[in-house]
Amino acid sequence: MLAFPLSVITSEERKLNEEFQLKAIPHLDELYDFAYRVTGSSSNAGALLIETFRRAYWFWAKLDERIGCKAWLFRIMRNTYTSIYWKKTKKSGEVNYEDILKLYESLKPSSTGDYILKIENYNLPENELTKIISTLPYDFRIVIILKDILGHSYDDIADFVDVPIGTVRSRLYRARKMLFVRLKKYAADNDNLNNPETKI
Amino acid sequence: MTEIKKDYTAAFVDEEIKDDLIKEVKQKIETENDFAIDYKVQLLVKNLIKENVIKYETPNKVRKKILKRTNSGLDVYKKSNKPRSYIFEKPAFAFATALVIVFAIALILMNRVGFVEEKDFDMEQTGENNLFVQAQNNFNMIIQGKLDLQIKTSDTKEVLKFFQDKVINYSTIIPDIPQMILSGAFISEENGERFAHLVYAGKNNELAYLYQVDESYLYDSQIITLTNDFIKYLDEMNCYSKVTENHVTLLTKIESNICAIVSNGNSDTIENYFCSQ
Repeated sequence: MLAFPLSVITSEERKLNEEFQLKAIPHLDELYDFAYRVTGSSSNAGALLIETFRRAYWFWAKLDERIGCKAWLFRIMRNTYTSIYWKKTKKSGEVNYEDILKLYESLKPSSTGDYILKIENYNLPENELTKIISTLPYDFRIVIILKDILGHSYDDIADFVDVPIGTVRSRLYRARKMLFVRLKKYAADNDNLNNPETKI
Repeated sequence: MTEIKKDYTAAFVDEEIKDDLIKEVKQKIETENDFAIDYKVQLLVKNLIKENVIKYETPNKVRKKILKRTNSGLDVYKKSNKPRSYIFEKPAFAFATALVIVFAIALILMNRVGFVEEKDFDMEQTGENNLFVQAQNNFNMIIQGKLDLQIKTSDTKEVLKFFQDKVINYSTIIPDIPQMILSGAFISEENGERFAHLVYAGKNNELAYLYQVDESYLYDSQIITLTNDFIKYLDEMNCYSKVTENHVTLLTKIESNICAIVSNGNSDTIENYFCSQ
């Protein structure tokens, strides 16, 4: 009498494991990459990833197939990060966008043919752009990571950040302008921008 | 009619504009200089990120840990696929079930991954015999030129022979640290026991220093020390790193050696390398 229910449980568990391996595990690297950029260190990223997958496994039955496994895992990671990590490490992260905008307006070129708009003129050392991105305030950094590094759609980002799509668009637009200002400053400070006009 | 604001240039770059607006946004970019420049800036930044940003892969240790947990039939977090309400359908079991749930929640809280708490490990490491303290002191002495290499070579075989000749009583590891070249090695002596130290240098004179001891020295807790919870943390194949303004200090277990690495080089490179072993 006992053998039958036990075998049912084992079979359920096996099915759960198989499903989890098939649907969740393939997203490990993408979630780790995100965790690394958000927490800023490999040890914290590893811990956040482990906790995310622990929760995902636990709540596997609640996976909403309509939003898809990847978006669901990102949502769990966001909640884990905000509930455990973010509260304890939250810095002001406030940014005066008006100041950035003024700086942007003063730095932006007057024509689309300007050399500072050409990608081939930037000589960025490895990891430098990653560092520059990490200096962005959280709300702006997150949309850059999700869109420009991980390639998520505006819909997915809106779901993840829990804001309307218009806000995603606006934050991305402003985040890239902030990055442009910082890139240009970095390039000027370190002589990493080729100005063809100054070359003999 | 939708007003086309400049932030639509971002959506245009990302191909995230609805069909009925594409023409209007494109026309704005083609006819208005401000829109055209914003579009170019958005495109430039997006492409720079695409070309320059390297993707991080899950370290093997973390991957193994997750796979192990999700494969294990003994995991305390394992749950039934049945909805929660089914559990309470049998009143006779309701109280016992509630107790089990309370117990499970207590277990979860106790076992939560402490990625904030781990930051305090370094605060607890004190005393002149402490591995963490010794590693940082030695590194400071190296960069001040107060601690000399006893063998200067980038040849790993020569260094291994040096350790053997100097009677290091445990197997030593000489990793290839990215963007660094082995400069040489030295040994230290504590209560008659000898320990292996390696020094690496990068192109821009940045240094990496590796101090390794067999884990058994830490368990004896006499000659070289670390706090018990720190040893347990490392023994569970976790990697601990502390990044300050000037350098990164990282502790990890490689094979049976507990390794302390201190470097004023790129902390990301050091962390990625040692934490994915």
